[in-house]
Amino acid sequence: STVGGCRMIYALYIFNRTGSCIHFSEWHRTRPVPNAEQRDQEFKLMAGFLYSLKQFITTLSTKKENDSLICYKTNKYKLHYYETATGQRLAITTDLTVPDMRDELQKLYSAFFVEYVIKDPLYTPNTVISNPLFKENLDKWIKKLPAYATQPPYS
Amino acid sequence: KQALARQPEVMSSSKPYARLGDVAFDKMEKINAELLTMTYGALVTQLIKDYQDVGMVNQELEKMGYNIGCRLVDEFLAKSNVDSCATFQETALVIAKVAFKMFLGVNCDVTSQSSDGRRFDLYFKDNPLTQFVELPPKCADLDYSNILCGVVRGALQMVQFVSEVKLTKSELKGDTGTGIRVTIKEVLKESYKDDDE
Repeated sequence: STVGGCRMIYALYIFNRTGSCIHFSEWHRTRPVPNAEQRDQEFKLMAGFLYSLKQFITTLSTKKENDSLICYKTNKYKLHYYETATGQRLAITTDLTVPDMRDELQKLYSAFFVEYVIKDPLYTPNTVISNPLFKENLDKWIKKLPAYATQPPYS
Repeated sequence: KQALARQPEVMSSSKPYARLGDVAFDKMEKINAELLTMTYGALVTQLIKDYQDVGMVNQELEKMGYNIGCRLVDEFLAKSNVDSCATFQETALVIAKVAFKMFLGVNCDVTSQSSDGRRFDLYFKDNPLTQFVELPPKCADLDYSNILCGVVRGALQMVQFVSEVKLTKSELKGDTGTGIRVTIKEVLKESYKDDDE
């Protein structure tokens, strides 16, 4: 649930080209924590949904070339999306007051994903990211963003 | 640049890409070129000692390049700020003017391209890999810079292009520069694995 006027970043999903979730982080979760199986279902649903949404957008697009999903919003949250030509898909959910996060997602990709994951010789491409440096640095950076509120929302 | 905007059909101008290449090159962390030359030379020498067969060494270099290319493409996309390519002509220019400049520091040109765009030739001089190198007679068939072919193939694979990349000219075999021919065989469609089916 959201609180009026409180900026917040809720969760980050990273999917690979075939739709597997290779990374998930969340902050400020107010709903009950799901178990591993429910988690998996959530990821599958999210991946499938984003894929269908993209197909849908391209079909309906008036311009036909390179039209892509940027973000969608509901009356409770916003989802910002960034996809690379290599099929890495980043989706971040935030509260409604957060403006466009495309630049942040681009930065996330180049400064964190490329530097800590792609360049990690111990990482097998397309598998779940387990590099602690990636998680720590990502977490620190997210928490410093203006979109991230320092105080948890009162509920 | 204004003139270019008014003539969208003149796709072959490479100036904006050359600029992107220069900017990206400036931002990249640099190492000593001779260090690369020596390290690569040591690697190839060791491969020849291990395999004893030039054909196998060529293959191995290509494979190593492929693995590098698969990862390098993400760094390329992240740091070069290129938009998606609308045509194969653009793809060729991006590889030559931006990627080769950014990672190898060389000024590479697209010297020819088939009418459908799928086959094109890249050419550059002063290949940092081949500096100081001489091929002995028993290695006359060695594709010394084959790692570069693998890198291009790996990178293209990750953006859904299945390709064949071959070394066509080499400074070590009497040519004035390095030539690489890229042939795009297949464009893969987006596939999505669905466990429920």
